[in-house]
Parts: sequence; structure tokens; C-alpha cells
Amino acid sequence: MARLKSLWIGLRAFFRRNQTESDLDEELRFHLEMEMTNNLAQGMAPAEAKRTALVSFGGIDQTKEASRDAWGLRFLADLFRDFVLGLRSLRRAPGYAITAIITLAIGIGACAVMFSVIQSVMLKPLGVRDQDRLVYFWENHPERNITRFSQSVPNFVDYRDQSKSFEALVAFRTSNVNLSDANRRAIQARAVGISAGFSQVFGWPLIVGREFTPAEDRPGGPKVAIISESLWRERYNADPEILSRSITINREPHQVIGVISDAANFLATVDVWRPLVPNPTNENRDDHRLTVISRLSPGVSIAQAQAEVDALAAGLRAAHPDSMEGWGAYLEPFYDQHVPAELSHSLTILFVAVGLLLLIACANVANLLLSQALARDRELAIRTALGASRWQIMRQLLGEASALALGGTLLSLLLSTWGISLLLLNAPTGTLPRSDQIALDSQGLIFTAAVGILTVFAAGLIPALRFSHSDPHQTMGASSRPVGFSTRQSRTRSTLVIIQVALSLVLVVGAGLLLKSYRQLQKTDPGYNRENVLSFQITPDATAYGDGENRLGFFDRIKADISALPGVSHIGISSGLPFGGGTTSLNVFSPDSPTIPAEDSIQTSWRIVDIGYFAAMQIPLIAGRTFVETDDGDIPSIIISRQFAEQFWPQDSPIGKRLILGGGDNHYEIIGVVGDIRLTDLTGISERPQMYLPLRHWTGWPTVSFAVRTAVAPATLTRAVREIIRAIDAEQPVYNFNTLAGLSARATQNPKFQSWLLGTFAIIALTLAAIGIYAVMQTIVTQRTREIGVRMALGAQASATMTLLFRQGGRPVIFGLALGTLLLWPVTQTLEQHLFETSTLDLSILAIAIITIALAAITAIALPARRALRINPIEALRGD
Amino acid sequence: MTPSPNGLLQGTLGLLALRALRDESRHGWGIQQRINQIADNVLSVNQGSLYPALIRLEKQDLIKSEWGTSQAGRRAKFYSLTPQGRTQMDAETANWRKFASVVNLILETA
Repeated sequence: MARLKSLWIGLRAFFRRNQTESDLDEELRFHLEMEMTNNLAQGMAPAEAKRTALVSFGGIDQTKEASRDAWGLRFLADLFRDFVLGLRSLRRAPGYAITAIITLAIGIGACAVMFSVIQSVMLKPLGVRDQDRLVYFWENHPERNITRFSQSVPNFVDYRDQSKSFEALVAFRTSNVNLSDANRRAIQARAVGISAGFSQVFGWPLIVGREFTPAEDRPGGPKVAIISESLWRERYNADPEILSRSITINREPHQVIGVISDAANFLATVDVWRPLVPNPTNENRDDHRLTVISRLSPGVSIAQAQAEVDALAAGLRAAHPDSMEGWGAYLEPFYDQHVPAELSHSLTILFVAVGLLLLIACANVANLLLSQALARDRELAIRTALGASRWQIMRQLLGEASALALGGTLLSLLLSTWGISLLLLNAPTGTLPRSDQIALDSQGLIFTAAVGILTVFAAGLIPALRFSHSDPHQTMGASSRPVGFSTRQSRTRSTLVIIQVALSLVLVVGAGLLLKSYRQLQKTDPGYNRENVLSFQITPDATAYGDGENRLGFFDRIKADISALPGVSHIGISSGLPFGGGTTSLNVFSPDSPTIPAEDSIQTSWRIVDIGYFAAMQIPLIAGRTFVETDDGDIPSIIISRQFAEQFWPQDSPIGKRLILGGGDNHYEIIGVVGDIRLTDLTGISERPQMYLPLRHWTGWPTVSFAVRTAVAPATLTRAVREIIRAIDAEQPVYNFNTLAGLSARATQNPKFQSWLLGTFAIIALTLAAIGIYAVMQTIVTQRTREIGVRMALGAQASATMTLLFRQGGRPVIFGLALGTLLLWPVTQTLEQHLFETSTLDLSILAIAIITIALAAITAIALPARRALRINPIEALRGD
Repeated sequence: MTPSPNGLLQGTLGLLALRALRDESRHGWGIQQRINQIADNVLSVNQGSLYPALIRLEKQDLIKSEWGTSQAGRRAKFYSLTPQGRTQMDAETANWRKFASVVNLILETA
């Protein structure tokens, strides 16, 4: 408290120093007058009275000076003066100042950008109330290596009714629906069925109306819907009478009871919200399709809740052995699901990268300050000789550094705003959660300022320490200036260059590794031909087409009409295209396998496909045949992938063998083996064995995707396809037009972005390091001008001078490269999990990086060295 | 900062100033007069040294100052003790007495 007060008095005295000084003057004058009056009263003559008063006071100026010291005014005033002095000396050397400020701005700006990203993506609260008390409530199956799986409706109802650890459980499932109402075009809308009370649990406000009641969330309840703010504004022009409306969802009228804020788009973008209406009597316990989030009761920890659901799961396993065997429950903190560890990891890598960049920038500025100070060697020596203390010299140099840091920080704010928009432009959609919130906010500004201040000390301290004990005798000694140069100072600068080069090497190699990994990923054969295929999705309206023959008829008409379009060669249908979103898998048994016992199963990805699918996708047939129209006999046919075949039948042919899907007695017969494809993971690491079921037998899958192979650019057919479907059924929406290449490009967005970002940082680092080397060489040449002059006057060859300079400039670069190579091993280890078919010890990348840096260094050395060759010996010797 | 050679004196001057303000608020000259009175003109310091000492005391929050009018009707800066100042004065006085008696003892027995 007293210290604060003391600081306050000091600062007030500083900022109102005219007032403070005049107050002091007045106070002292008053004192002297009183003393004089007193003296006069004692009978002195006026002149005598004044003299005596002044004598006993003892020096007005000394008193004032001592008072300023007491306020701490002098310290602050000196600092301020040094800062102004710093600004002035920068103006004398604008090139140097601009280089230093830009260098700093880049280093600080890059840090600010990454900080803002991390701040918005990882640190800011998620868009729900009390995120720490929310948990994802998954089912899991450790035996089958399933860690997070949707819950089945009966399990959800049981968990909800039996658990005591939770205040509320909210289950939801999303779907696409056909939305229509009087006088408006039917659209495909994103719908969700969700438990009553969700808006309370997540803290999302309703703009109009109310939430679902528990009665509306029970079977037989009224048909009601809440619509999203966006839909309300866009489709209904923010109609205030919206609650009196009824909308038609999948041709069933629903009463609108509320409008929910777009804040509710946090989990998924949704247009229409309906009550979930879980009905355990109608649903299978092994049909897992609900995402469940629950809110912990006050005072209950996740571990306690986990213990409770473990016990409940054991009860369910005992009660329903057929459907629940092996299934358990797993609670995952809300944050972990939304900010995946992998994302945090890669952001942390990028943050470390900008940290390195900032270090390089600091080293650069320190170097520039050193060279600048060196050029003023004599000025500093004279100041020392005239009695400037070590601290005063240091403060002067720090004053300059702060002037630079201020400029750099201000410019970095500009750069980082620009950098953030550039980053958002390049960031892949959906990979940076909440990327729309990334901006340089107050915390970002504070961070930037703090980094700026740290930079001053990091960059300014080295030269300040170095020069604060400059020896005037040596610097201004007999020969007026030493020939050659001081090894001590050059060692400091060489060390800085070594650090810069080493850090640049680490960044360049890191970026190279990510870039190579991205290339490898792009080059990977996905197992099908993704060029020239148009894709789109349809969810045939259940009321119009049911789930059987009518759907097939509808698909056949669409296929026939599209096939007739010019440029179309093949057309296929699937329940899900590669990288089209969604995963479907089942555990599969076989009574006929020599390797896998009949009671053991393998988790297998499945897709429902039609007869044209394999031809349209160009997935190679390895054995047997693909589906034909007549594949709907008593024993349904099935096609498996090569990996599947190798696991079950490593020796003999799988054709004709039987499979059992998910348990029970129903057999499928294998009719063909096709190549494995990448369905959800381009690296193939998380891909499972695959199998295909005939559409003719599995007609009921709600949303199907079409793949149309074309001889022309696929996107050009979009309009024609839309018209064909409208001609068949004007009420039927068709959506998600894309190409197979476009879909799979999503899988490379992330690595592309990461390598792009790290590559940018590496290029900046390289540039900064080159500037650093250049500045050092420049100084060396300036310093050795006389020496080089003498050598040349004595007949030294230009090449000998060149060698001399290259040896001096090149040595720290070589040391830096060596140090960087040593640093590489531990640093690239952290990249390993992000690399695909790329070793962390990739020698070709290391070689390229070393050559690149060496070339940059040679350029940075050659430019000043060439200047040295043009030195005129006479002038150099006469100099000064 | 190097320790000032008259550090002891500064501390003493501070203590004297605090004591001078014990009973009423005074302006600088008044404090000076009061110190002379207490010290019976034995302590010969430059009167000017008082002002930096007052600034230090104010920074330590031991005294506070405000502008007022002197008896002669002239504008003057008046100083008074803060509660902390009063505590500090008592503590320092006690300390000083202890110190002085020890010194006395040493000088007398030596």
C-alpha cells in the first residue's frame, strides 16, 4: 500500500512536473521569507537578514535537486529523456531503425496471431452454460476397440431414469427433413430431435415462445417444433406472429412453439428442433444412434458419475445379455470433445514455432543494436570518460531499444490483424472450432504489449551489458582506433547468428516435413478414382416413397434420366460416399473361417450400394462378381474388401462363404472381393475392413448419395441433374452437390493448412536470419575497413580478402547449422504424430533445408563483402 | 544507489520532523523552528535538507500535506501526521531511546 502510494506520488510528480516544481519554488520562497522576517525581527539590517537566511538554508538548487531525487522524478525524467534520445538517434539511422522495427513487428505480430487463435479456439469458454459440468455420455465396447459410440434409445431411457449423478440428460439425433409450408418452395432442412429441457441445460435463450415440455417429449404428444433464429429471419422475415403458424415437416404439420437463438448452433447447425420422443418399446437396444450429453449434479465429480454409470451398465448387461454383451459407458468432459487433444497439440506446435520466430527476431534486433552501438563506440567512450555511469550508458541503450519496441509493437498490431484475416481465409472450414471468434481482443493486446516489453529487454540487454563497460582508454587510445576489431564483441554477435541459424533450420526442416507429409497424403491412392465424379444426396420423402420398392423405382428413374445426359458414363448409389461424412460399422462373424473362431467378430465398415456403384467409383474387383439385379434371393449376397478377406480367409477363396452381421442366425453369402478404399481417413490408419450390402435388399436407408462419372467437368452437370429430379418430383429436395475430389480434399485441408502456416513461419525465419547475417557482415566490413585497406595496399588479392570475410561470416553459420541439426531430433519428435509416410529423420529435407539456409547466408555475406572489395586503400587509411 | 553518508542524519531529521508534527500541523518553516526549539539549536543542518526529508516521509505515507493560509495570511503548504506516521514515530522514538541508552552505556563503561 505504502509502496503503491509512493509510486503514485512519484508518477504524479512526473506527469505534473511543472506544477510540482512551481509548488516547491513557492514553498521554498515562503520558507526564506519567513526566515528573513524572523531575522529582521531580531534586529538585522534587510541585506544582512537576507544573507543570513540564504546561508542557513544552504543552497536552493541543491535542495531542489535533492527534492527531485526524493520524488523519484529524476529517474523517470532520465528514462523519458533516454527514450526521446533513442527516438532521435533512430532518426539518424532510418534504415537500421526500419529494419529493426519491421523485424520486431513480424516477430511480435506472429506471436499475437497465434495467441489469438489459441485464445479463441482453446481458452475461451465454449458456447454453453457451465461447460465444466457437462459431459458426453457415450457407450463403449472395449473388446471391439470402440471408445465413443452413440447410445440406443432403450439404454438412454434406462440411464436417464436410473442415474442419480446427473441433473439432466439430453439426447439428440440429427436428420435431414423436407420442410414446406403454404406458398413456399419445399427445402431440405437440418433437423434435430432433442430432449425437452435442452435450452436450459445448455443455456441457449429462446427469442420467441417457449421450450418443449416433458409431455411433448413423450410418445403420443402433440407435434410441435422450435425453429432457429436464422430460419425465422430468412424464411419468415422475423414474423412476430410465428407462434400462430404451423409448418410441414416431412409432410406432417407441426405447431411452431418457439424461436431459439442462433447460439444454439453450437453442437450442429440446425434449422428445426423437435422433441426427441424416445420410445423404448419401438426401438432396438443394439441400434445406437443418440448422442447424449448430461449435466452433472452439483458436487458430483466425473469420477463419481463414471462409477455410477459403470454399475448401471453392468446391470443392463445382466438384464439384456443378447444385445448388451461387452457394452459399457464412458463419460467424456465436454471440453475434451470440442477441443480435441490433437488440435491442441498442433496449435501448441505452431505456437512454439512463433516463439522461435520471436527469438530469431530478438537476436536480430540485438544484433542491429550492437552494430549500431558499435558505430557509436567513441561517442559512448566519450560519455564514459566524461563520467557517465555504467547504468547511465545502459539506460541510454535500453532507451533506444524501447523506442524500437514501441514502433515494432504498434506495427505488429497492424500486421497481426492482417495476419488473422489471412489465416482465417486459409483455415479449412470446420477444423478450427469457433474460428469466427478469432480476433485480436483486449487480452491479445495485453499479450502483445507484454511480448513487446520482453523483447526490449531480451534484445536491448545484450548490447547494453556489452557496452556499459566500454573502456575509454582502449577505444580512444593512442592509435585513435584499433586496427582489426574486438573479438569479444564479435563473439557475442557470432553467438546470436549461431542461434538464429539453428532456430531457422529447425523451423525450415519442420515445415519441410509437414509439407512432404501433405504431398504424400495427396499422392495416396484412395483405392477408387476420384476424378470426374459428381456427387449429390437425396433423402426420399418417407411418406411419398415408403422404405421399399417405391424408393428403388424412384432411384431407377433418376439413374435412367441422368445416364441419358451427354458426358455421363456411369452412375452409382451408396449409403455414404468416401469422405462424404458419417461412419457406419458392424461387428461381423463367420461360421466358415479357419482363422477367426465363429464366436469372435471383427468390426467392419459397411456401405449399402447399388449395382452401378463399383463401376462408377472404379473400385477394382479382385475375385467373384459385383451385384446384379437379381441379388435378392433367400440368402442375401454381400461383397467384402481384400483386407476383410485376408483376415477371415488368408489361404482359400472367400467366395461362397457365410457371414453373420451383428449376431443372430441370418447368413449372408460372399459373392465378390473388391479393393479396400479410404472411406474416412486418407492415411488409412483408422480404416477398418469393409463390406458392401446390396441396395435391393436394404432399401430403407434414409439418405443416399449418388456418384455420377462424367467425361466433362462434373460441376457443369449440377443444373441438369437438379432439373431432372425436379421433373420427376418437384417436392423432392436434392442437396450437397460436390465432386469426389472435393469431398476427399476435406481430408487434406488440415495438413495443408498446418504446412502452409509452418512454411510461412519458416520463410519469415529464414528472411530474418539472412537480415541478421547481413547486418553482422556489414558491421564487420565497416570495422575492418582500415585493415582491409592496409592489406590491399600491401598487395593482397581480392580473392584473399573475400576468403577472409567469408571465413569470418561463414563460421557462425556453419556452427548454427550444426547446432540446429542437433536440436532437430528432439523437436521433430513432437511432429511425428502429424506425419504421414514421412520419417522425422528425412535426410533429403535436411539437405534441402541446409542448402537453402547456406544459400541465403552466402547472399547475406556476399553483398557487404563485395563492398569491402571496392574499398580504396588510400581513403581507408586516411579515414577518420 | 549508493548509501548516502548522512543516512543516519536523514533518518534522524525525519524522526525530528515527525515529532515536530506530533501536536499540530505546521508548514516547513514552522517544522524547522520547532526542531531548532527541541534541539536547542544544537543540531546544525542546512535548513534546505528538511524538504527532501519531508517528500520522503510523504511518499512513505507517514505525513500528508495540503495548501493552506499562514498566520500572516500567506499561502503555505502545511504538513500533518497520518495515523501510520504516529505509530511510526512512537516506534522510532522507542528504538532511538534504546539505541541512545546502549551507546551511552558503552561510552560510559569504555
